[in-house]
Amino acid sequence: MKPGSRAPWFLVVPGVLALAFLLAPLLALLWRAPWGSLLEIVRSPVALDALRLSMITATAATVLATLLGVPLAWLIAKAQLPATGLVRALVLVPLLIPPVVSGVALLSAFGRRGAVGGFLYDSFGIQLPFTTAGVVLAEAFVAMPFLVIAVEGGFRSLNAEFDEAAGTLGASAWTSFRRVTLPLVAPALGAGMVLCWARALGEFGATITFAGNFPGVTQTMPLAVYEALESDPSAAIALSLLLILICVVILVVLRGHFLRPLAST
Amino acid sequence: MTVSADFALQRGAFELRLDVTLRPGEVTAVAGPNGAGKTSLLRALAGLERVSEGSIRMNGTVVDSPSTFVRPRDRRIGFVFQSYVLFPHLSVLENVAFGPRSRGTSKTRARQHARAVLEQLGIGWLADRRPSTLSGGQAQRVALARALATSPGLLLLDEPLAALDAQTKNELRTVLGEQLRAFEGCSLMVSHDPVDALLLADRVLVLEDGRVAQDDTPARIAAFPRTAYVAALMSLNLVRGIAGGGVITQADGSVVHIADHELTGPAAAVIRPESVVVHRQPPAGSARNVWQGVVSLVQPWEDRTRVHVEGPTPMIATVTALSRTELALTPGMPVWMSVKAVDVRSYPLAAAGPDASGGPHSLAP
Repeated sequence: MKPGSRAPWFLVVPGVLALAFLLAPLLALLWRAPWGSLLEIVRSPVALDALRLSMITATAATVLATLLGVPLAWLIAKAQLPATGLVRALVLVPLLIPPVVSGVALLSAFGRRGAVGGFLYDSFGIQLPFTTAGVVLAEAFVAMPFLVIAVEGGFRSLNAEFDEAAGTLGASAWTSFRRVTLPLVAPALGAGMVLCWARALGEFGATITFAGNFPGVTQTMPLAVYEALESDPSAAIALSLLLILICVVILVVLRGHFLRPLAST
Repeated sequence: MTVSADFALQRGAFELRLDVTLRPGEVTAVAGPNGAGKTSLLRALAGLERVSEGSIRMNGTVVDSPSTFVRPRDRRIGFVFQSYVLFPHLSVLENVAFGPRSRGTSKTRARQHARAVLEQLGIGWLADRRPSTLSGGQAQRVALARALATSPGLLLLDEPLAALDAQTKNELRTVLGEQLRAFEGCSLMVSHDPVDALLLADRVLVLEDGRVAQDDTPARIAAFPRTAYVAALMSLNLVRGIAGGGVITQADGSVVHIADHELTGPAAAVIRPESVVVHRQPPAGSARNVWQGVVSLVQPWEDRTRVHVEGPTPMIATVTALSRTELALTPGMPVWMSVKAVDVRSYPLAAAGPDASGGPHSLAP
């Protein structure tokens, strides 16, 4: 640091305090971890079931959010909708409302007596609440806004001339989207998918409200941690450490591939 | 391909209106001040902008009119963007192969073809590079190769040399000249630089304020400019008015003496900057034309100095370094200018274009 540009105390003190506040719980988790029985807890059937379910549902929710969210992001960024601002604000709603409320809202839409769910159940016998598919739905509902916002930013900063150039070279709209637009927003898409996946992995409130807490069917890792806390706190800590480990590993692995920004022209 | 463009295009308060036919093998340069509609013309031909009246025909088929529209990808065009717009995530080879592949050629064939086009432009060795690692001149060649790889009938170039430094520009101008001469379709090139137009084009289309101000061969553009913009582009002074009795009377009533006493009707006169003599005192010589003005700009120009003089008859004069020192010219200084009548080259401005016989000092090669 250059002389004379020392950080003032009124920023340093609260700043360091904030860092301590963020790190203390994580360090406490390490401190209190049952290191001796860690492997045993993690390899218990309940933990393995929850882990498997969490991986599957978070990934499925991310796929669902990508398939639907990328086109939505494109519409907001490029289609000059009549009320773009309103649409963008609506997309943010699931991000802002309490997850439990999202769960209640999902029940009123997709529950067996819900507006859409009633139709699905009566016509096809499909039931979403309290099923693994319900978990995916709840996670996608809560996590999709992260993806949409990230990808929309990517689309918006894209030079329209790329699309025009592809058109003059004979590319159809689909070819242009697949071979030019999508690769160019890959960094934003990668970041959005990681955020979406991480949020889906940690989803608790909407999941337990809409899908319940049935081991092997809807009990994801966060739900298992919550349940373990009541019976066996050290197991809860062990599972929490596992969740943190997964997040860190995924971030490190993907950083090299997806999150590296493309060299621009 | 023959392209007939007879259309109007509305963009807010701006309107581009023209009727131009481009013939196969012909290289047309589009010149004109900023906002004259040069890029709009290019984009309309490419199908990146819609016409609001009239039509664009390619080989007789309407590709754009208020009721018909053929998408850019279905027109046989090549477009070289001013900023090149190479796809940053694809290699040079893949960039050039993109067009053929999009038009249904197999991956292998498209790559072979792309390699051949790159070799033709002398840049085969760049095939595996990423666009971000290319110099401006290299990127320009790749952009040209990419546009040519689809074998277009109409090649559109938007200021192809504008983003390059002077030396690269000279190199690329030669490359571009070779390619354009070898190209069998028609080509249209927007350019700010009169040198590009004179060296590369068979025909110069001058747009001013959304209209065609002049449409001629480069030689005739240089010899018989019809507007002040064209004259300035060619580094000439232009005076317009009504000729009669050995003078051209301008709109404000001031007169310019010319050598041609037979000339009558709407006419123009060009005066080369070298023919304008600048004086600090009212000149005593035999020159018929004497004007007063105020120096607005003094700039070095090649081995001489160009002096811009504002006044009722604004002129650009070229003075030698010696007379610049003697006259001690600075902006704001009142001066007199004199031009001999024999140094004023006059020609009629008929609606159909200037008379080919022109004046006594034709610059045409």
